[in-house]
Amino acid sequence: MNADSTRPAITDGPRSAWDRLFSAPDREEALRLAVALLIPVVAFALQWFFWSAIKPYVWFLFFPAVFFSSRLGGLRGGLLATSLSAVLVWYYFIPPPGSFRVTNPISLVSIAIFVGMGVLFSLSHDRLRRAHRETAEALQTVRNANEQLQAAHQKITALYEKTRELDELKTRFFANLSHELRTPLTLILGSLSKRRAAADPAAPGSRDLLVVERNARLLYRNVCDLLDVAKLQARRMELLEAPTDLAQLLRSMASQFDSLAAERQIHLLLDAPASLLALADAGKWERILLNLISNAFKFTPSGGTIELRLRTETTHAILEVEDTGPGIPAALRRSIFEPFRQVHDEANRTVGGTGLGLAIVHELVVLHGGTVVATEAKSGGARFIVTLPLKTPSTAPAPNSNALPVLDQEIRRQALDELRPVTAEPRLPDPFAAPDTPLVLIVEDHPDLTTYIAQILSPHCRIATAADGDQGFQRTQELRPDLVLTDLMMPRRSGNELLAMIRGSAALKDIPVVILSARDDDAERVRLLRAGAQDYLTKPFSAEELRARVTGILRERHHARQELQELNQSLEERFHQRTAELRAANQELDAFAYAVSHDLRAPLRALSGFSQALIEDHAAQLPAPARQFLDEITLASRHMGELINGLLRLSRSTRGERRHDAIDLSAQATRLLSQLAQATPERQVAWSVAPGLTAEGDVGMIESVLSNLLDNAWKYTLGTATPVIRVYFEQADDRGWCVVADNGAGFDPKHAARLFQPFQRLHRQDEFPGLGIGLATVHRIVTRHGGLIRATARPGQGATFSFSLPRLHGNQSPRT
Amino acid sequence: MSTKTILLVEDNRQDEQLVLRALCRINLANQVDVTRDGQQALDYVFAEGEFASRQGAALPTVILLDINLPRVSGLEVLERLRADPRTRLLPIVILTSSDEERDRLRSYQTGANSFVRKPLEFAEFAETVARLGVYWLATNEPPHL
Repeated sequence: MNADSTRPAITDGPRSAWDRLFSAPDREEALRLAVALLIPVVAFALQWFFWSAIKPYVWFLFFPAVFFSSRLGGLRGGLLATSLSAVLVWYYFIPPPGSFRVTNPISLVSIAIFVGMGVLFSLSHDRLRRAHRETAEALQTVRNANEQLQAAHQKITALYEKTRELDELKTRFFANLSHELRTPLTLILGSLSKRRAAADPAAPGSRDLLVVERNARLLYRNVCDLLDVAKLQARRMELLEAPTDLAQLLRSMASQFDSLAAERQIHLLLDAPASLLALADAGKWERILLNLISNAFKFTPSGGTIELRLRTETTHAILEVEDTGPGIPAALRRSIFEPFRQVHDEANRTVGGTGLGLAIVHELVVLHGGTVVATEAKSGGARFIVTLPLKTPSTAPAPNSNALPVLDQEIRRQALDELRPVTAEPRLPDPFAAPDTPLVLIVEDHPDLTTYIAQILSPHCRIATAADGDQGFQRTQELRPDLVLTDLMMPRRSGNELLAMIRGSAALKDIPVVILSARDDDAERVRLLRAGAQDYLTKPFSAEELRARVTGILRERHHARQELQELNQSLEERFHQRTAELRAANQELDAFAYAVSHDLRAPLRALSGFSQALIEDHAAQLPAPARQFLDEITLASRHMGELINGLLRLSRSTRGERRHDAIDLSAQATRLLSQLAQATPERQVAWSVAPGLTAEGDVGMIESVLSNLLDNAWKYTLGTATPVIRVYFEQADDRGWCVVADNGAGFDPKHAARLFQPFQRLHRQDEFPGLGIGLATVHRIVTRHGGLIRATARPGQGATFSFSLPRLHGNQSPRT
Repeated sequence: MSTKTILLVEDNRQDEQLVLRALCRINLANQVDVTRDGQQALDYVFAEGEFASRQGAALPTVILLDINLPRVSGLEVLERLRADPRTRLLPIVILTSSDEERDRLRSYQTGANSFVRKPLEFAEFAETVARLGVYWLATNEPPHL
């Protein structure tokens, strides 16, 4: 059975007893079957030999034999052994021996009992075997799983170790790198300051030297910060605890900021006990102080206040740094202590910094076993609270530990330097480029970079500068440069905002804008180009590239402008030409009208004059028909004269300047109607004028309109029994109308189209005399004022003329 | 002996005849001198050229001046007469067919004493001219030149 259990898992699944009975036996199975069959044979031999002793117990040895056979041979072996045993016993031992005859029926019962027992043995052993096998299988599965788990565990451990190794490697690499950078930088700084001390400050290169030094120092500080963060994260920073006077160090550090506070008009308040002795790492404590205070200075506007408070609270020393700056949004109060994290979006930041200062503070405080949190000050500014466990030293601090000897001088100097307002104006190259070269506005908060760009561009362009986005927009408005070159990250207003403002201004939106950015990012580039930037340059850029791009854009712009100018010029020329032509045509027209008024009248006067003379002097000699002819001549010449006058009025209505008077239409109409009534006292016309009709226009021309319309009304009501003429206001089709209505002859509406054309008459001369010029004149005047005129009528039922004018107002009166 | 004369400056013969006819009716026709263009009128007044023989003769009491004249226009004649100290105050009446505003304006600006439009109707015309003659020769007191 043991051999069974150590064999690999028997994987054939649950099979019926029947299947197992007839399946082909493997080698081992065959061996077992053979042994199972051998056992009854051995039992037979023993029983045969000792039959005299055993007799009459025919089954004496066969029950145990079948039991073992079934145990060894399983179902198959058991059954075969049972059958074999039954046959052997029946033939040899059951009387009469040597035959299958049975003398006693009990013998048959015994055979049946034996076979039944054999089958039972076989089945129970088979079940037992199966149970065994299943247990073994399950055990094997568990064992396998266990093995896999172990393998995985080993793998993970290996990976973890490798990761740790890599992390350590990285940290070490980082530290090494920073260190390798720091050493040459220290050397550079050293020689630089020596050079500067020796050089004449007015010498031509000294300014460049200053720029180099300033930037080397900045680089040095960044490298130091990086190095510290790397060390802290690698847990390789050691705490050198010694008896230290925390209050003394705070006072000492605060005094470093005194002149800066005065310069920037910031109140620096200090509240600390005379002495606070503790076991601490003085250098690290100083670093904490430096970073927190310079951070406060960074965000506090001039006129603000920075408060430093140090006190003890039972077992802790508590330092509070509070400012009146913009504060820290609640959501960011935790994450500001992560490296490279800054409160403000990078593109819109107002102050510089690598974002390592607070991370270093955090790590250093944790190293001391303390905590640091950021909260909101009462003023809305930021408040940092550092809590350090107070370990009282057994000895007093060494006397020389008060003079800030531990912290790197360069770091402190740089931290203070950075916070100083930039007094250095960008130096513009001179002599300037010629005054007719394009003007480029450089918007950049870094004076050194501005100087560099200006030097690159100065031979080709004139340069103007602005130090931030706000100033940039202001200068763009003032100077209207040919191109704006702007940084993205700037105090007060970012390059993004400046771009949006320039594009949003109608006057400035055509000025090309080139963006300088430190971020080399396709998405950003696309976004800026979409926002209207002409080009995008990534820092660091080469002088050649900058020059090529800027001059390219300027050249294009110059060409476009030239083309536009030429186009404008030719347009202007054409305009002048047309104007001159028009003026000539007008003059000709004037001359014509003048000639008409002078030269056509003289012959007419002669016609009528001499006819009259003929009548006066020779009436007696003239026969009656001759007199009649002369009368006709007089009539015709009078009519001709009226025609000429009408024509002149018509031509004058569209010539000359139009005045803009406020006109009282009611008063005009009333006056004209009164005149008509006086001129023809025999007419009994009932006329009415609505009060309050006013409009804007040329008073003379409008009088001519009213005069013509009222004359017509007066004239065409001649045949009406009770003539009525009304002048009133009407509001229709979104405008005011002045209406002149009569109940006279009217006209057929189908001829209305001819009404306003010169010399078109709707009545015969013998009905109503007229020239056909009056309404044409009215139409021209109203149209020239931007108004409309319309007429409705029915023959014999009067005519209604309505005209609109600019700002024609009146009181809507109910029709009567 | 009456020294009061009218100088009519008119290039249109028919108008001239009608004016003379109107003046004739009130017996003033014999006191009218006629010139037919601007230059002639100037020569007459200043006794130059063909009118050199008028040297020393009296100036006309009034000039009836048309605007549309050959050679020198009426307005130019007016201008020249007003520029000369001898004729600076001489009464001059513009008698014209024009009813253009600008003619009226320029005439007065240049120093015309009166602007009269010739009516088309002869009856009216005759009456206007007669009234002019009576007014300037009888009613009006001219300055002593």
